[in-house]
Amino acid sequence: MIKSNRVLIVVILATLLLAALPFVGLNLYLVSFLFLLMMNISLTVGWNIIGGYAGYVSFGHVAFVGVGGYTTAVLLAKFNLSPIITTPLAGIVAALVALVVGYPALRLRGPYFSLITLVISLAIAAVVLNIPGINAASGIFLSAPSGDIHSSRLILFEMMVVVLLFTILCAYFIEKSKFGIGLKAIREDEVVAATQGVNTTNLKLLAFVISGGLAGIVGGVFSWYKGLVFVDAMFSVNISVMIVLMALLGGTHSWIGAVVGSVLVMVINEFLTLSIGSNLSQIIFGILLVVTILFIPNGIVGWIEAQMHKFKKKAKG
Amino acid sequence: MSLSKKLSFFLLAVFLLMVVSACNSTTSTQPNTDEQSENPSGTGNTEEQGPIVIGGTLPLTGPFAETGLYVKDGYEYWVQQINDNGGLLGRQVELKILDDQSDQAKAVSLLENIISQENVDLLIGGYPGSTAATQMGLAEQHQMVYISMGGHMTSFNQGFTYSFGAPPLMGEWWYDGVFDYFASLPEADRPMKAAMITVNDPVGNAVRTSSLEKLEELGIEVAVDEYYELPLNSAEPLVIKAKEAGADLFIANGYFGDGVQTIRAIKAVDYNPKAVLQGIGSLIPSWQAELGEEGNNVFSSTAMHPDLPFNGVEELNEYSATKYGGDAPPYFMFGYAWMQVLGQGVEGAGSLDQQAIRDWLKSNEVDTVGGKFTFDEKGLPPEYSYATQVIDGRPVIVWPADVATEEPVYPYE
Amino acid sequence: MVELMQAILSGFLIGLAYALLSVGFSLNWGAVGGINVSHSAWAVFGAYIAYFVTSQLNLNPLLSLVIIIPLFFLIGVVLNKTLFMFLAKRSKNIGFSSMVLTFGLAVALENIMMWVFTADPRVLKSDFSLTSYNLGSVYISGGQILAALLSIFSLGLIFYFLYHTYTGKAVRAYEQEQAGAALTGINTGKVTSVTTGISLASAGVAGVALSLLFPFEPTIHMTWLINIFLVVLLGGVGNILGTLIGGLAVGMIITVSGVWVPYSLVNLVMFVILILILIIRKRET
Repeated sequence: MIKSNRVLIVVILATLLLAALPFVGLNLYLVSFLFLLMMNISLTVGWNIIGGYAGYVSFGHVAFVGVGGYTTAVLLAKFNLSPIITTPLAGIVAALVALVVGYPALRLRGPYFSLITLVISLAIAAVVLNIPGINAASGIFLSAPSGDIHSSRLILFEMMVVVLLFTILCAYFIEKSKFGIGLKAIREDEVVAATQGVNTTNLKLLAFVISGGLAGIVGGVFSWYKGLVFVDAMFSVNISVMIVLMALLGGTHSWIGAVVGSVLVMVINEFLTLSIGSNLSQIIFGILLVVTILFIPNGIVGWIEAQMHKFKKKAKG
Repeated sequence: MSLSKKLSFFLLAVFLLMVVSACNSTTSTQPNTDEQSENPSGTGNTEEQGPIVIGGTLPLTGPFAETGLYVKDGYEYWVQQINDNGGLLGRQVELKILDDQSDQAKAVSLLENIISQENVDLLIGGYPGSTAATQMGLAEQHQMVYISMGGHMTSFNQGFTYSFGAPPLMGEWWYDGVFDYFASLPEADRPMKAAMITVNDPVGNAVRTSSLEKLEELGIEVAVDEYYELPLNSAEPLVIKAKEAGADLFIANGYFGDGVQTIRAIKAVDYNPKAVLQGIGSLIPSWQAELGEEGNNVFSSTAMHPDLPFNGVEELNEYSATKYGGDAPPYFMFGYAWMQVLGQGVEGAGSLDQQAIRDWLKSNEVDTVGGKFTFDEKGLPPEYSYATQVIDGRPVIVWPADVATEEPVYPYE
Repeated sequence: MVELMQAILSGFLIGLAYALLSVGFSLNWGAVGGINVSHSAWAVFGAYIAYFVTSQLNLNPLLSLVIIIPLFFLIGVVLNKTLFMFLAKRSKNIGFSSMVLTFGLAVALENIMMWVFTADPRVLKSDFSLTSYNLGSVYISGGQILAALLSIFSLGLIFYFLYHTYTGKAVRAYEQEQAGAALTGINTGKVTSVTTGISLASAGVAGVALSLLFPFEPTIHMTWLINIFLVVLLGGVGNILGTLIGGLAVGMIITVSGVWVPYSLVNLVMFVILILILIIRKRET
C-alpha cells in the first residue's frame, strides 16, 4: 500500500490554508478553538505512531504532554526564555522521559501495556509535583506571548500549525518507511515479526520515544496557551483517555484516521457544550460514543473504506 | 493512497470549513468582530438599547460542579433582582454562563468564546481558584474587568490590573480569625504543639504557608507537617502520627471528602487535640447535611456568612429558606456578592467602559452582602477572615467578637 | 510502632474493599474479554442506593443489597445481551472497543447520576459508622469492619461460584478456551451473561462497601477506576485470588509506606513498586 505524493500536497495546502485563517478576520474564539483542535489532532496523530502502527495502546500519553508543558513553563517563569525557543527542548525532554519509561513498559503487551502506561503517567505527575525548586504544587504562571491578545492568539496558533504539520509529516513518512512497515508487522504478530529479523525491541522503543517527543512539543505550547500550569490539569488522565478515544474512533491504521477521529470528537463535543450544555450534553456525548462504536467498531476510516469497497463492487457487478 | 482515504480527508476538510463558517456567521449581530474586540469598552448590541450581557464560565458538570452550581444560583438571583429593579444603567441584564466541565483548558477556550464570539459586555468569575486564576490572565489580555474568588496570593502578584477579589477566597488569610482567637487566650490555655496535614496543591499550599507563619508568631511547635495527595485512602495513619506526636492542635488543610475522612479518623482513634482546624470542607452545605454532629467543633474560616449583619444578607436568607430549605449557602452568597461589586462598578462608572469600571472600583467603596470593601492596586480588599466553628451541626462565626454569634467551643470534644 | 500497626490495619481493611471493587472488573475482562471502564460508575450507583436506603428509609445499609444484587445482575445480563455481545461479534479488538463503549456508558451514567442525585457529596451515616473499637493502641471503625466483612463474604461467594458450581466452572472453561468451551456444549451466551451479571452485581456490592468508607459523589468513579487498574495490574486479570492479593497490596503499600516516607510520596511509592513488580514478573515468564 503505497501512498501517493498527492496526499502530502493536500496536507501542505490545507495547513497553509489553516495558517492563513487568523488573518482573514476569524474571531478570537475560533482561533482559540482551532488551536485546541490542532493540538488534539497533533496529539492523536503522534500517539498513533506507537498506539496505532505498533499496536501498543498507551493510556498515559498525557505524561509527555505534561513533561513538555512543565519544561517550557519552568524555563519561562524562572529564566524568561520564550517557549518559541524552548518548545523543541520540551520535546527532547519528553522524548528522554519516554526512553526511560518506555524500555521497561514495552516489555508488557496488550492491555497490560495500556494500564502500566496509565500508572506511569500518574507516577510522573507525582514526581513533578515533588520536584524541589520548581514549586509545581502552587501553580506556575506564564506571561502571555504578547501584550496584545490578537498577537498572542496568533503566535500560539501559528506555533501549533507548525507542530501539527511537523507531526503529520513525521507520521506520514514513518508510515511509508521500512520503519513503519516494521511497526505494523509488530502489530500484526510480534513473535513472528521477531523471527523474521525485525528488531522489535528497538523499533517499539523508537516509536514510543518519537511519539512521546511529539506529545512533549505539543505540551510545550499548550502550557503557554493556558497561562497557568498546575499538576492536576497538566497531567489529567482525561487527556490520555480522550486521545485514545479519538484514535480508536477514527481508525488507528493511518494518520488520517487519527485526524478524522480528533476532528469529529472535538467538534461534536464543542457543539454539544455550546448549544445544549451541562449534564445533558455529556449524556448525549456518552450515548453517541456507545452508538458509534457499536456500529463502527473498527474505526471510521476503515468503515468508509469498506463502504467504498462495497460501492465499487456494486458499480462493477 | 486509496481513494477512500483521500475521500475521507476531503470530506473532513469540507466538514471543518463548514463548521468554521457556520460558527462565524451565527454570532450575534456583529459586522466586524475583529474591530470591536479591540475596543475595551465592551461590545454588546447597539448602544442605549438591548440588554447588557454578563458572561463567564462555571463548572456545571465534573468534580467542581457542586460549588459551581451554587455560584451560578448566586449570579442568577442577582440578575433577577437587578432586572426587577430597573436593570443596570437602565438596561435589562442577561446572563450567559457556559459549562467548562471543571476543565481548565475548556475554561480558557469557552471564556474566549464568551468574550470574542458572544461579545458580552461584562465578565464574571469562574470556579475554582485555579480556573479563576487562569481566566484572570485571559481577562487581562482582553483588558476586561474580572471579578472572582481569585487564585490565592500568587494570582494577585502577577501584575494584573483588571482583576478583583471581591471578596477573594484567600488561602493565605484563611486561619487569621482562628489564630487571632488563640492569641486572645491566656498563654496557659493555648495549644502548644501543632500537627498539620496539607493537600499538595495550590489551595493547600496557600493555607499552609500562612498557617506556618501564624504558628511561629504564637510560638507553637510544629511536630508534624505532612503533605498528602488526593484521593486520601485512609486518614488514620496520618491522624495516629499526630496523636503519637502529642500534638494538641490539628490542622487539616483539605477539602470536603478528605476532611470527612480526617474527622472520622480523629474520632475513631480517640485523638483529642484542643482544637481541630479544617480547610474548606465546612464551607459546603454537605458538611452540615451529611455529617451533622460528627462534624462539630471544627474550626475553619470564611469571607462570607449568612449570619453577618450586612446589607442584603437577610433578604438572601429569606430567599434561601424557600430555595434551599435553610440559610444562604456561602458560595451562593459569594456569587451574589461578586455580581454586586460588578454592578456597583458599572453604575459608579456610569458606563460599560472596562477601564472606567476598573478605576472606579479602585477608588471607591462597594457595599455587598459580604461587607463594605475598598480595593488596592492588586484588586484586593484589606486582609480579613472570620473564624467559624461548627456548633450543633452548623458552621457559625466565633471570631472576631463583634460579629460572633457564639462562643468558641474550646477545647475540642 | 503504633503508626506501623495502624497503617497495616487500615490498609488491610481498605485493601479488601478495593479487592471487591476490582474482582468483577477482572472477572469480566478475563472471562469475556470486555474491559468495562464503567464498572466503578456502577459501583457509585450502588453507593447511592445504599445511601438512600439509610437516609430515607432509615434502614441498615446492608439491606440495600436486597435491591442491588438482583438489580445489578439483571442490568449486567441486559448490557451483555444488547451491547457487549453485539460488539463482540463485529469488533476485531474487543478489548479496546469495549473500552470505548463502556467509556461512553460511564460518561452517560455519571451525568445521569449528577442530574438526578445532584453533585452534592454524600456521606453514609449509620449507627456503627460512628463507633470504633481498639485493639491496643490501634483503632478500627465500625464502618471499616462492616466493609471488610462484606468484602470477604462477597469474594468468598464468587470464589465458591467459580470453583464449585457448574455455571462457574463453565465460566472458567470459557475463559481458558473459548472455542473449546463452545464445542463442549456450553452455552456461551449464557456464560457471558452470567459473568457480566455477577461482575456488575459485585460492583454494586462494592459500592455499598466503599460508601461505608468514603464520601462520594458522581464523578468519583474515575478515582475508583484508577484503583481498580492498580489492583488488576498487580493481581493479574481474571484471577480471583490475585485480585484479593492485589487489593490488599495496594491498600497496604500506600498506608505503610507513609510510615517511613513523607506522605506526599506514598502514591509514588505505590506506582514505582507496581512498575517494578510488573517488570520483574515479566522477566520471569
